Amino acid sequence: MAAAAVADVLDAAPPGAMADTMATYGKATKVELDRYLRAQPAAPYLDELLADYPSRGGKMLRPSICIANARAFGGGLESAVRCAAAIEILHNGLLIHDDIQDGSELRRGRPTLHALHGTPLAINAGDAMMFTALRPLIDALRPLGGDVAAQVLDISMTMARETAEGQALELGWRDLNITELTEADYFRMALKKTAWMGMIWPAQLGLVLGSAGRADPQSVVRFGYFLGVAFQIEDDLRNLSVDPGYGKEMNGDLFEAKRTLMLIHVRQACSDTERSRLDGFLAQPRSDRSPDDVLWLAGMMQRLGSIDHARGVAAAMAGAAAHEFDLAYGGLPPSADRSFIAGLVPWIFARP
Amino acid sequence: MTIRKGKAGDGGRVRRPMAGAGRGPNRASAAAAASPAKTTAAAAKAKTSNDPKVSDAVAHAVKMGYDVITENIRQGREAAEKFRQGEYRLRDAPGDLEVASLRLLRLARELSTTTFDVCERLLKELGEQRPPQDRTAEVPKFRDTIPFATLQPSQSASAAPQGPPSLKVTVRFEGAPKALAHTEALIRPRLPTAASGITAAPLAPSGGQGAPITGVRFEMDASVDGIVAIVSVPKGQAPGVYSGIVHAQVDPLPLGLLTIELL
Repeated sequence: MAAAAVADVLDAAPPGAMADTMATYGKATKVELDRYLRAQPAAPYLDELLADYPSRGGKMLRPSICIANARAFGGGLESAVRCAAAIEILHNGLLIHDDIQDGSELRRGRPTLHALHGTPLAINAGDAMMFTALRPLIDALRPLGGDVAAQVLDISMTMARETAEGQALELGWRDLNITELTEADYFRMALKKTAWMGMIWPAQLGLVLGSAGRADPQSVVRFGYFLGVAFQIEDDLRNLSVDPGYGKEMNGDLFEAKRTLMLIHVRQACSDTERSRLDGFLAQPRSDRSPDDVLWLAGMMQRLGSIDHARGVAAAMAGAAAHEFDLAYGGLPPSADRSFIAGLVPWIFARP
Repeated sequence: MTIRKGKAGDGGRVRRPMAGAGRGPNRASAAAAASPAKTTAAAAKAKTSNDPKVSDAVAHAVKMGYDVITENIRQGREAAEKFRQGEYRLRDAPGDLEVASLRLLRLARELSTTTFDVCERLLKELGEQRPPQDRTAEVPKFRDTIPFATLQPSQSASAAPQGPPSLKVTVRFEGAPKALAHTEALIRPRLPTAASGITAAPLAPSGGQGAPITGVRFEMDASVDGIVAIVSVPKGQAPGVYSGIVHAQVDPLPLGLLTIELL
C-alpha cells in the first residue's frame, strides 16, 4: 500500500541533513504521485506524457517544504504526502506550459515535452496534470473536514492568482520589451512567479494540514517570500555560470533577454552608449541575438558589478528570510522538520 | 537599526534583524537593510560587494523587498475588503456570516452523512425483503353489476366494470299474471334525464309472430334503486319473448334492449 510504502521510506531514512530529508520526502512523494498518475488505464497520447517530467527527477523542494511544515505543526504524514503529491503534479503541469510559453528546448537535460510531442499534446498534458492534482489534494483534505478544506481552497486560489500574475509580468516584459524596470519590479515578479508557488503555498498547505486549520497561513508568507526571492536571484546567477544545472543552457537567460536583477542593474549602471546597444539587443528576436552580444552583455554585468550586486542582494534576502523564520516558526518546539525549514536558507546557496 | 515594514499588512510593527547573529551566512546583509539608503542609478554604478557603499545598495534592495511584500499584503487586504461585499471568498465574509456559513456547511455535511446512513440502511432492508406475492385474487369484487344490458344473466357480474355506466331497472307488469323480466340494467343516459324522458319501442315478439306490446313507460320509485319500467300487457297477449330498444329523448344512442317473457 502507498501509506505503508511511505512509512517504510521514512523509517529507513529519518530526516537528518537537508539532502537526506529532501531525498526522503521526495521519495515518499514520488510513491504517492505515481499512484495517482497511474490510477487510470493508460490513455494514448496522454499518460506517457504525464509521467515524463516527474520521471526526470528534480529537487522535490516544494513537497519537502509542505511535508516539513505539516510535521512541524503537528500533523501526520499521510495527508501531508498526498498534499505534497498534489503540489508536485501541479508544478509539473505548470512546467509544461512554462516551457511552451518560454519557447524552451530543454528541461532537466532532455528535450521539453512540446519539443518531443508537439505543442497541442503538451498543452493537453499540462491541463490534465493540473486537474489531476486535485485528486490527491481532495483525498488529503477529506479527513480534516470542511473548514480546513475552505482554508486550503482560499490559499490555493490566492496562489493561482499570484502565480498567473507573476508569469504575466515576465512574459509581458519580454514580449513588449519593457526596459524601464526597477529592482522593486523584479522583487514583485519574483514574489508572484517564484515564491508563491514554490515556497509560500507549500508552506501554507503544510501549516494548515499540520495544525488542522488552527494556525494562520499568513504567518509564513514573508518567510516564503524572502526565501523565494533569494532562490530566484541565485538561480539567475547560476544561469550565468558554466554549469547552470539541470541541463539549462549557459547564458540562456541572456539569450532570452530575461529580466533578471543583473539585467536591471546593468542597464542602470551602464553608459548611454552601452544602454543604446543594450536596448537594441533587447529589441531583437531571440533568434537574432548573437553569442558575441551575449558575451558582451555578460562581461558588462561583471565589469559594472551587477553580478556582485545580485549576490549581495540574494544574501541579504536570505538573511531577511532567516529573520522571518524566527518570527514564523520561533514558537514551535524544536524538531528535525523545524530545523529543515530553517536550513532552507543556507541551502539556497549550497544546493547542488 | 530598524526596518519599518509595516502598514496595514502587519500592524505597523517594527522588526529588528539581528545583525551578524543567527543561523545562515546572510544575517549581516539583512542587517544592512536597516539603513534606508538612497540608492540611485548613479550609485549603483561600478559598485562591488566589497565597497561599503554597496551595502547601502543592498540594504536599499532589502528595504524595497520589504516594501514589495508589505504592499502585496496591503493589496490583498484591500481586495479582501472589496470582495467582502460580494461572494469572493468564504473567509472574507464578515465574521458572523462566516461562522454561520461554516455551521451551515457542517450541518449540511452532517445531514448528508445522516441521509446517506438512512439511505444505506433502507437499501439494505429493502434488499433483505422478498418481492410481494400476487395478491390480486384477494381483492374483493369491484362492483356487483352488469355493465351492459346486452349481457346475458349468466355472465359474471364480478368482472371488472367495462364500458359506460349502467342504470338499474326494475320491470313491473300490469295485466299479466305470469311474466318475467330478462333485463336488469340499461345504459345510463349521458345527460341528466327524467324517467319520463325515457321511452321504449314496442316490444316485438321474438320470431316476429304476434302483436307487439306498446304499453311501456318509465317511472321513478324511491323504494327501489334505479328506475322502474312498467309494461302493460294487453289481455290475450300471446306468450313468448318480447323485446324493444330503449331510448332517452336527449340522447340518440340506445340505452339497451328491454326484454320480457310472457308465460
